Amino acid sequence: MKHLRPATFVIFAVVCLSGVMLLYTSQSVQNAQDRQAALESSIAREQEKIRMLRAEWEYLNRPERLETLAKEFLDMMPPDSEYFVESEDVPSIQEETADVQIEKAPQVEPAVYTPIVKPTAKPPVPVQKAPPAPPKKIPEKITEPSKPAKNFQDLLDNLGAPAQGEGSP
Amino acid sequence: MILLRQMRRNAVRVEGEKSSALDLARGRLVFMSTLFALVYMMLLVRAFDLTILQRHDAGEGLGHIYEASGAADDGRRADIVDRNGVLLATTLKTSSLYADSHLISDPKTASKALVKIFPDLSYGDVLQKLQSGKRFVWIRRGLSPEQSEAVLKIGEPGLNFQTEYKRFYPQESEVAHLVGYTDIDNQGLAGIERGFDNMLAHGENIRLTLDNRLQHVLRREVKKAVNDFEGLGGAGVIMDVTNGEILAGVSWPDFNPHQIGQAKDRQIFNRLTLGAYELGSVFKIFSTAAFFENKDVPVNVSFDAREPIKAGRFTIHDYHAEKRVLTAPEVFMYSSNIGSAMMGQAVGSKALKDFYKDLGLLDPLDFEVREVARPLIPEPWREVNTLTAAFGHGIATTPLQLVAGVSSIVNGGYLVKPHLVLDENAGGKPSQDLRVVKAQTAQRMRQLLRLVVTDGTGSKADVKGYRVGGKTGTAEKIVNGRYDSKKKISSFVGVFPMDAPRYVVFIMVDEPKGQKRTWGYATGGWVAAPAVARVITSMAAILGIPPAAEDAPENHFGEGLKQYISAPKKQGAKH
Repeated sequence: MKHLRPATFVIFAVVCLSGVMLLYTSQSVQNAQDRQAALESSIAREQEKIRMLRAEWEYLNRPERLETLAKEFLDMMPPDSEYFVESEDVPSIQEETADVQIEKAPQVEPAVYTPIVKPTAKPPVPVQKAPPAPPKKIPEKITEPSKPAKNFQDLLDNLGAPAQGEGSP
Repeated sequence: MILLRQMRRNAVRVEGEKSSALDLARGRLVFMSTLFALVYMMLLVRAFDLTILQRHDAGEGLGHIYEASGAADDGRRADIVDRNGVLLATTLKTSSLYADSHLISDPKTASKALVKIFPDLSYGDVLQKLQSGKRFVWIRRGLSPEQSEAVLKIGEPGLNFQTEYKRFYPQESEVAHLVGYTDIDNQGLAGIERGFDNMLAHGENIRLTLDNRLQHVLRREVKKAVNDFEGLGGAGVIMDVTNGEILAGVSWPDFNPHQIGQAKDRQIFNRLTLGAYELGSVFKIFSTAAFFENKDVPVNVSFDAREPIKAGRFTIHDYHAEKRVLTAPEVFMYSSNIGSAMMGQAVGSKALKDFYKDLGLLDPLDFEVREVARPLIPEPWREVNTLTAAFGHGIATTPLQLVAGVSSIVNGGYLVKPHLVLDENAGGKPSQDLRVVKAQTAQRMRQLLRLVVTDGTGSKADVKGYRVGGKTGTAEKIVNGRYDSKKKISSFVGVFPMDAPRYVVFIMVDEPKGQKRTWGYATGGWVAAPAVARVITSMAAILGIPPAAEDAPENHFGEGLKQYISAPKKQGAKH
């Protein structure tokens, strides 16, 4: 077998090796491309979702709807020019409230830090804490007061209604 | 392979003296067999690759489908947003699921899977549809991306999607007239959608000068004014007097752009730009400005308004006649037709016409929304037309033109061009290219407008601390060629703050009916002025404009004119 010199075997081995490497490389390229395609399509999907959510967000934040909801559920009223306060008036208000707090602070401390061994009398009432405001009655189900309750999905359904009717090819 | 080996064995057997010749043959055989072996190896490797390495590809096939459909994204119609970036119009991808019942292989399994994805569908209904024998039957419209994916995973060949791009208006009818609408093929048919159809179709977003919050406030008040006075309709606009940016524009009644097919003509009609109205006394702003611009007279020049003016067949009366000699400020604040007609007469036909033309009142408005009306002007323009045009009769313009004209006077005399698309390069800086009135005239007009609100017909438009000025207008509509005193167009154009004007607010109501609580009055001062005051109150809060302090000098703006008023402030209705 003088035609099969050692060099032939070496070449053969190199060819095989490079074949395997080529296969491996092409495999990894293909995998990477698949991943890219998958990522791109998922990005496109996410972007579409974002678009949809943004549209829904703006739809739900219509000033008209917010106004109706605010009127129904919040104890607030539209501001009036009477309620504007000059900025120089603001510090004086802070000073007044600060005085009140300093005066009453010492009374509060024992009630907070010393454990009461013998409750001789009623423990001093912490003044700082305002009595918890009665929780605002939250309606069990928030129904949109405006007109017939329209939900975003229904709106989209109507929007997506293609021109053809049922049965047409 | 076996064949090759046998050939090789045979070749060895015949080996002998002729080995040199055989050697050559053997070498060729070895070469050939190696070649074959390599080819088989490649096939083997490829088979391994396809069956073992790439077997997961089937699951990722969905990704390719999405990518293919996503490629159409470039053709998506662009968004329209307001000045703060709030979405006014956008395009959403909607996919709708339909079934071809001939291709459904297993209706029961498919129905079960579909009901799992859409819990609101009933199994029976879906099964019925899938077995109906129809080639096309809707299962569900407006699918979310996740739902489409889930449906694809059922792997039923009879389930198909119809993907469409649909125009969506999150604000619904709120800005319907200015933003406009599109047809089923997403081509702009009205408003900005029409005016910038090409740009939007090529994916370029448009930012408008509108402010969604102000739009809501204005719409609410126009609607309230129309409803309170049982009017046919109304219109309103808020504009920045310094640069002509339209912050809000309303035509009432309006329509839902998603259901344009159901809208009536009177809803689709844009009163703001397409309606030409005789707007009446608000035009006295222009004739008075023309008078002071052309005649070098002191502000307290007086007019004899004791007798109605006779001009040809016409007689000009005052609505609430003072029947005495009036100074110019009195003519303006009591809205005397006789006085204004005299001013027009003094200015002269040509000068008055030229002045109106300079303000853009005689030509169709050059505007981004293409639905604009041509003003109706008397042809030929006779002497009597000058008299009537001085108090806003016999000449009909669109409300937007009027507001632009008023802005051009009160902002110090610079012509403004109303526009709707935000020029982001301008940065809101005032346009000061073309002067239409002198600064002195502008200042006088500001004082006169303030006087109307402090002491005249527009007192209900006052908002404490905001120095509102303005002018009422009550015009009679022409019915069958005659002015009908029962059918009016009542309007008010308000400007604030009067000492340094920034915003103009205009509200108009078509055919308001007098109400009990207004003692039967349906004039501009009763109908539109309070609405403008409410708009300004809300506007100030939204834009964070502080009111002037009680003792601030701004509050006394225009009080210098009070010395020329002889009668004390009268309570009650004027127009």
